[in-house]
Amino acid sequence: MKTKKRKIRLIMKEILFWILSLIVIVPFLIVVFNAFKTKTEAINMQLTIPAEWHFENLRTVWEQGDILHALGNSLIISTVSVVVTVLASSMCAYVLCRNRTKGNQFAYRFFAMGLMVPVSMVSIVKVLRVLRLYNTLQGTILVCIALIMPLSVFLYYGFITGIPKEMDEAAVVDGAGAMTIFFRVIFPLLKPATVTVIMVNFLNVWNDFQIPLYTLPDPDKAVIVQKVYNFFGTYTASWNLVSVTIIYAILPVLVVYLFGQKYIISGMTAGSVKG
Amino acid sequence: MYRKKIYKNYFTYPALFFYILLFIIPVILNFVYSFTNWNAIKMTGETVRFVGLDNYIKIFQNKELIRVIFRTLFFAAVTTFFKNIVGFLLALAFNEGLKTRNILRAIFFLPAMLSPLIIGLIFGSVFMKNGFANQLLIVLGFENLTRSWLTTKSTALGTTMFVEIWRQVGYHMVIYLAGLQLIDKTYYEAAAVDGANEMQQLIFITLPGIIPSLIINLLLSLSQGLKAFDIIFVLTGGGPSGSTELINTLVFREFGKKLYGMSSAYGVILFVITAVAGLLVLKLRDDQDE
Repeated sequence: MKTKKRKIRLIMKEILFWILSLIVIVPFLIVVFNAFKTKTEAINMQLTIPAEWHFENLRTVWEQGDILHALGNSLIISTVSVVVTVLASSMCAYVLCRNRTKGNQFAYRFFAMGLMVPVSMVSIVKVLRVLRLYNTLQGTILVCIALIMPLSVFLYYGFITGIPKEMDEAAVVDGAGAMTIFFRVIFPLLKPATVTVIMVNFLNVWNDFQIPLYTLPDPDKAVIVQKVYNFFGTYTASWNLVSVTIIYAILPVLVVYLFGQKYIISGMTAGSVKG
Repeated sequence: MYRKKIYKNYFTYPALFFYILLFIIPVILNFVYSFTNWNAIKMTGETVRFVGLDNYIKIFQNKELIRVIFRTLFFAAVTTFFKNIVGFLLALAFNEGLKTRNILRAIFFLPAMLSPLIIGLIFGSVFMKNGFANQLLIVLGFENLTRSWLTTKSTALGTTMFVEIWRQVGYHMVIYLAGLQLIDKTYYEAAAVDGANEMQQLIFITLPGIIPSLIINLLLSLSQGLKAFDIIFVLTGGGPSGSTELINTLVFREFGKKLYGMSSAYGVILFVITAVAGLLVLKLRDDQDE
């Protein structure tokens, strides 16, 4: 008897949480439905299936919005900054973690500080101006690298702590330089951490709006999130077209999420539960 | 000695270089500029002159600007409270038992994956005058409750808080889940043998067990709340009549007016508040450890 009662309770609970999950699902459904409506039908962003599915909206926005260009800009910025960060932060965290001199301990805390404090976009713009990199993709990439570095060092550091030091000893090959040893032997061992660092940073850079807003004002160089915002500014009343740009911006993220959910979650919680 | 051979200090240089050049130096410059009248409002070009504490005096003598600081604190406190309570409850529900818990977790975590700007845009439509929120209220028979949520002074800030909480709840849930998994199952078995009910188990086993996750969640949600920008920027732009203006949106506003010195001073205030909040939470942790 008791188990049956419990089973019913569990089913009720399950139903309750699926109803609750509508709070998350419904806003996305609204976007998807309205993306395929006409301008007048989408005016109030209702949660109704389109009277007629206007798939041509996809093409209209793709061409008018120059979406490919914006996706390309986002992809370049995300990819380059993530690759550079993976290399720099893994090397750095490795030495900071293994060779705990006073200076290195300080450097680690110095990075950890960057996890919390706010960045100073106004002065970042100034530094970029001095370097003549303001309003360039290269400049924005440099800023992204700097801002995702603390978390990356932190994630690698936590992971390396869990690798036995004996591995390092075994890795030393006579005649090979430190660089060779690191990238031939140590770096492959860090693969789980690397996957996490790639995923988390890629999403952070891809989704960021504040950095390009300050450092990349040229509409021609707009990244996809900026493009969505600019499109919204230009076509304020055309919610159908705005919805399409939203879909274009979210789709790559969904794909990454679908394949990398495990790594993303482990990355976002790594270190956090160790205290 | 392999130590000297592979732990080369120059391994740390590239990371330090990027971090110092475009994170640390700007933070320091920000402090310096906050004591200047750096601006580009005149046609003749930029001027920079030291003005001492003038910017800060200007800020702290203006009631509206002090209000922005308290509003930012309020925004951070309220969103932190709800993100953690709801996140923890969701984590408890999805920890075990439910058959579909993995899908439910993935659904609730999804918003944390997306650009805050885009989420803001979506909710801008949900909360507009004829948007989904009001459509739903009408269907449910609460027609008298409908309003233009984001342009009414009394509801604008609450609405932006709701969106910020909605966006991040899943993230905090995931961290609590990780904390829950670390609690030794045998504690619960022993407690059950001793006749402890579910409530007692929650208070005496679960709550003490998730304190490390609570600390990190507090750190993250407080700093997120204090630094909030995108959501406000796209939902209300700080309006109506400044009722949702936070420090970070003011930083951008002053930047837009080319009043860089003023903008930097707001940045410094935000820096100090965030650092103090972070240190307080870490202090909490150290007290806990003793």
